[in-house]
Amino acid sequence: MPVSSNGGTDSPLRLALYPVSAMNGSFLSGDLYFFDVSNFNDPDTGSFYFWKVEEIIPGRTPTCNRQMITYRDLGVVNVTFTLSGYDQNTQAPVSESSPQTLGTVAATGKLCTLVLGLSLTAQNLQFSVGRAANAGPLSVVKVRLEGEVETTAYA
Amino acid sequence: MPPQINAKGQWVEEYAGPYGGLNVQVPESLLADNESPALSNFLLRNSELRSLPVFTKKFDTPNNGQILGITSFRDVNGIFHTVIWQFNKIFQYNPATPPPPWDDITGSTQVQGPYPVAYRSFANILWYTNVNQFFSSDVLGHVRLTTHPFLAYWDGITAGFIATQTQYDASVTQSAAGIAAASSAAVSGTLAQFYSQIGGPRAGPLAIGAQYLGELNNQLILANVSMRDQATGDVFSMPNLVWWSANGLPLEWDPTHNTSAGFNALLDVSDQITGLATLGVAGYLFRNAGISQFSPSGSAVAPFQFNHMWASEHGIGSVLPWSIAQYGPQAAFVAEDNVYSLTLTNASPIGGGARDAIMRDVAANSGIDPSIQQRIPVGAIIPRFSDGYVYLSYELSIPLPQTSGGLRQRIYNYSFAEKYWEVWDIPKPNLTEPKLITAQPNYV
Repeated sequence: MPVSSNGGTDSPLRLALYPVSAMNGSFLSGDLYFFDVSNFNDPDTGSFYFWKVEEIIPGRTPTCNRQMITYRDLGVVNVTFTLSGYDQNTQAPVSESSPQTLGTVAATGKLCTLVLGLSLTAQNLQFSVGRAANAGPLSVVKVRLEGEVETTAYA
Repeated sequence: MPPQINAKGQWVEEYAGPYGGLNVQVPESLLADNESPALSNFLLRNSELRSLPVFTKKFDTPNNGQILGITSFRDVNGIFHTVIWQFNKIFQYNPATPPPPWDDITGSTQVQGPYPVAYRSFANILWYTNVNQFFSSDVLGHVRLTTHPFLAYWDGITAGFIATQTQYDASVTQSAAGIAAASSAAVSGTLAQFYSQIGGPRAGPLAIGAQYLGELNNQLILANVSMRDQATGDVFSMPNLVWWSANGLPLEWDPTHNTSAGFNALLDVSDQITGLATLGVAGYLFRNAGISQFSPSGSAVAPFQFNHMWASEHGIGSVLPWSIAQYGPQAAFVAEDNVYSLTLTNASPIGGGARDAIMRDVAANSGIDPSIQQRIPVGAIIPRFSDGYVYLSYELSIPLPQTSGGLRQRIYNYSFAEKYWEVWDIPKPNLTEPKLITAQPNYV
């Protein structure tokens, strides 16, 4: 009969564990954390993503007046979409924002599309999305920006 | 792609995956469509921008204080043991133990900290060492010198870890890697030729420990070695020394007793060993400013041959000792100028457009008070978050100073599959200090 093991388990935990310390009151704790992939709504961490800056045509001032966001319904999430740029007349940054509630309680996992009408006339246009901590799970699949710009050559 | 513009001046721009991740090294208007000048707490996996999953506590631990390492191994009975190290304590996971589900298996050894432990499973036995000695690095200040260097082991069957060894002359070393009293004068006398602080032959017995531990050619390998003369208590630091056990005999470290055990001082480079990895048939000793390769020679008397991949005054090496991580045939580490991936054939920069952001934060980390033990950056290659959720990536955790005081945790995550960098910031508003990662995460 083989010598018995001292404790142990029949299988590994199959989990990535993170050794974490925090000052909890007056003592230093040592805990093991993990990323729970069944829930993409972290109550403590917000998220943001900035896309690249668009010149459209260098030297011209474009307008962006429609944004189409394709997202996956992971549940209800509150986010803020922002269109920002630079106004050469005032020589200052300008922006337009739109808070939106996406997704459903049913969290269907299906792809959905939101059409936004943020309108901004400025140079160096940039689109971004922000999600506050505990605002819900977000998954953006695709973003499409549409607008107008003067194309006539200078005399 | 530039925006599509028709004859009426109507323009369209689309952004979709696969994503390119963070790029701070070109102006925002010159980025590729799939890159970002700023992002936080998104996963770019599978061509989606998905908010970070909940980072939450899985286990409390019985001992206050930071965790210095976590790993799992399989013993000879096929039983898995998940082990964590804390100050002066070692625990194994036991789901039957009332929370926190950990049993004390400390045994005869101590964990000193604050640096993470180095561990290795060999022959169904878990080996580990934990030495803390001065690091002459730009990015790590010094901590107290080790007073009891040791190598310890546990087979998953005995009551606890064992860090003593009865040698052939019946002398007992306070380390599983030790030199018998009868051999100590010869061994220490040889070492004294390279390290003048030893002074000459020592009475011994000698206890050996190291900052790093690896295995190659059925031989355990200690790198950046400390040695204690048990007769006097004197501890000698030999930061460029590599010491290996006899072939297939991990408790035999005495070259005068078994010629396949031995050591090599890398005297021709001025820096020190800052890490160790073994890839395939070769081992790699990371130094501050270089990497030295060693490989089995086929000779029992001189079992390894050493070659510096480069030995210049400045060069690609590991400046963050615990940034080194390995997964199969590749390793990753942080050098002075970039983050690198090391394979059997070469070292390739992988910092990409995130390099400057990473180096800026490494520099900010170096300004943290060295007495704060949780400030050490660590790297790990994580194959999966959990069973069924594959995300093979190199995670570099860097504690950063906050303007409001204290520290905050930032993680740079590199996807090996899609070659992009993400940024994760881990706050914890309901605690006076945020959560800080204190040792290399591990998939166990």
